[in-house]
Amino acid sequence: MARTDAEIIELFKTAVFEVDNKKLGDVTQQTTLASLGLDSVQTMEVIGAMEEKLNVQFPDEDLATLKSIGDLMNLIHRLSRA
Amino acid sequence: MPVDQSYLGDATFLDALLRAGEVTSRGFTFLSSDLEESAYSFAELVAEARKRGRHLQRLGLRKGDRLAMVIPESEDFVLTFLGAVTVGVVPVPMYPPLALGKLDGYMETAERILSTSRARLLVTTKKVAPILWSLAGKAQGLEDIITVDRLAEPAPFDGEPVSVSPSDPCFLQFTSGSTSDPKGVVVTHGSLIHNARAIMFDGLQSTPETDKGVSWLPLYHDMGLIGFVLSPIVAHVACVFIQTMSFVKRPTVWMDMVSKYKGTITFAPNFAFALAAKYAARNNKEGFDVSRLRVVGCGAEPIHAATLKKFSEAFAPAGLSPHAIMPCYGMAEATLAMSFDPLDRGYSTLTIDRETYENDHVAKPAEGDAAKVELVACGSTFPGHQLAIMDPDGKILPDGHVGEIVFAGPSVANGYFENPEATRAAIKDGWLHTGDLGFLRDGVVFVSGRMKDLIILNGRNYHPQAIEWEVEKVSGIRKGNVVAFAVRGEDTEKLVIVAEARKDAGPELAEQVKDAVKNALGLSVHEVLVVPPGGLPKTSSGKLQRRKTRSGFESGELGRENRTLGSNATKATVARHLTKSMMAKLRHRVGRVTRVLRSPMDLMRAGRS
Repeated sequence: MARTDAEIIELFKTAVFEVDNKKLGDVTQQTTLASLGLDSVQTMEVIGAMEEKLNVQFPDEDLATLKSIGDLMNLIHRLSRA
Repeated sequence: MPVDQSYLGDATFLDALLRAGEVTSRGFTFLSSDLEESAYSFAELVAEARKRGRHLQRLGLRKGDRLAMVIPESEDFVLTFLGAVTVGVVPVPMYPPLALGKLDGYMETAERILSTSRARLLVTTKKVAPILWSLAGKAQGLEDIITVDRLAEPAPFDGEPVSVSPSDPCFLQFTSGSTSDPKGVVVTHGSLIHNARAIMFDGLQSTPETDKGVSWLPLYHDMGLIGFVLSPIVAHVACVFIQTMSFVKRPTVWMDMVSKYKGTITFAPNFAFALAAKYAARNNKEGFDVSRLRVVGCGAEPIHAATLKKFSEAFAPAGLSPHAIMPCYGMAEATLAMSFDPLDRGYSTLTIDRETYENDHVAKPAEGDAAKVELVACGSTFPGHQLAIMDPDGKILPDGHVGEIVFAGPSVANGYFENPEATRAAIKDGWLHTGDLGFLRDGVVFVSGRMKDLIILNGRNYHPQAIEWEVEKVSGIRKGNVVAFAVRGEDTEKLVIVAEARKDAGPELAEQVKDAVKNALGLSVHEVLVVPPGGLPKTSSGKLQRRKTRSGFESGELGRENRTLGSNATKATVARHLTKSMMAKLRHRVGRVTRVLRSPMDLMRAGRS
């Protein structure tokens, strides 16, 4: 099912909260994953939580190029079209 | 417990592998990221490996040649690795480019490992190959990059028989310590068979009929590869492999698969115990049962008693025995394992007096209110091996005295590949110098730090751990993510601390850290650099890289990348690597066409790709 960008951002915020008990402020397409204060294991936990919520699997080789929320959105849109 | 003694006839790992080829009742099960099974009996595993070995011979590889491997999926990794071993080709496992971002650093390390090992061929997967092609022109001696599906094709032709001796290299294990100067530990057929026996029979007292290993550990790392692939082959113990990425994304999968497959043995580093415990509530579905686990080994990084306790409590309701947790100690230079805590006892700790440890280098049990440190016991070494504590003059120290941990015995690997200088520094008079600080107590080893990281301030030695322990007490600092080191000052060394802050930490954190160290140890800190979570350099297995932290601090790079490397910068990096890759592939192809004229072998290879 296709998701809007706003929905994806909300899901993302929920995932970060579940992983790190942390409420994020403004998150935009330009927000980088590195700026959220998560370490590498926590980042992967968030990715895993997103997969679960969206019922998709992000291909491993795409993760190497994932840097911003916008990148994540593009990946999700691409997977939901596939 | 009755133990099968037939393994004693194997002189090399290859002997053991071929003997496992007769076992049809047990084997390895590889799980995909969707948890779909792909199962092989040991007989099927060995048959497939031999087929891949024949392919490698046909590609021109001969005994002793190195084969670099970048294969993220466990099934193809294991079959290809074993395939190389069947024909005496020496695999060089490398980690895949899967971490988010960080492609520049990855390519640099990959190139150095390829050049150092002088691998003739790199085998990878279709998904990863596009990014690796840029290595083709750069890495010394690398003749070609192939994808693993070529080795999986039928091979209706004979191979050439190969015999190996115990002193022949079986594979190269690159240590993840330093990126500028990677060193490949030469694991020989002999050191491997001895360490595998020590692990499976002396340490785990394994019974092949009832044991089952479950592992998500990466196979390019010694604990995953030797502990769960090579040693179980020697002992004919069945194993189930979870993709490493599956665990990192969904930590519940580890214990869920232990429950589903009735696992009896599993191992992981300390951080994974914390992660699994955090998500344990989600494991507790109906029928979730880990009561068959008899060993949950913990090693590969410093072990924290509090983490083990949390894990133990989290899975107790699902039947985890309090005696299953087993701390252990090892390193690649010892092939893998140097000591295991005794079975069926659970972990134990020793709380020592910090002042005596720091000032007199003696571990004395703490009393009363004195400052103390709790250390986890890592057991004693295996029969036929020796573990001792040595002072800087090479004298063996008595019980309770702190010094360098040294190890001797048939498990010691054959030094570093084509690096006699580093080998001489690591192995002296038969003793492997681990570089770890620790002490023995009734034969049981306690590891307390790394030698090379000792900080000398005004002529006095300080263990960085002692300083880091104080810093970790400051709220706002992430536990286990602190590095203390000294830099050269004008007259004397100066103390620097780099620490990861929790995201909600305020700007006053650096001052608080300075105060904490001053109050506890009387040391003045020259500079405190607070970095965001994940800001400290770590190895692919998550260990802090102290020397890299120091060099990053000294060059001014540390703490800066997170501010400048935005999304676009990363995209540019990826694009640049892909472009370089494509160009290199083109050049390589052109190069091959010209080489065709030289040998029929090249003609065959050029025509096939």
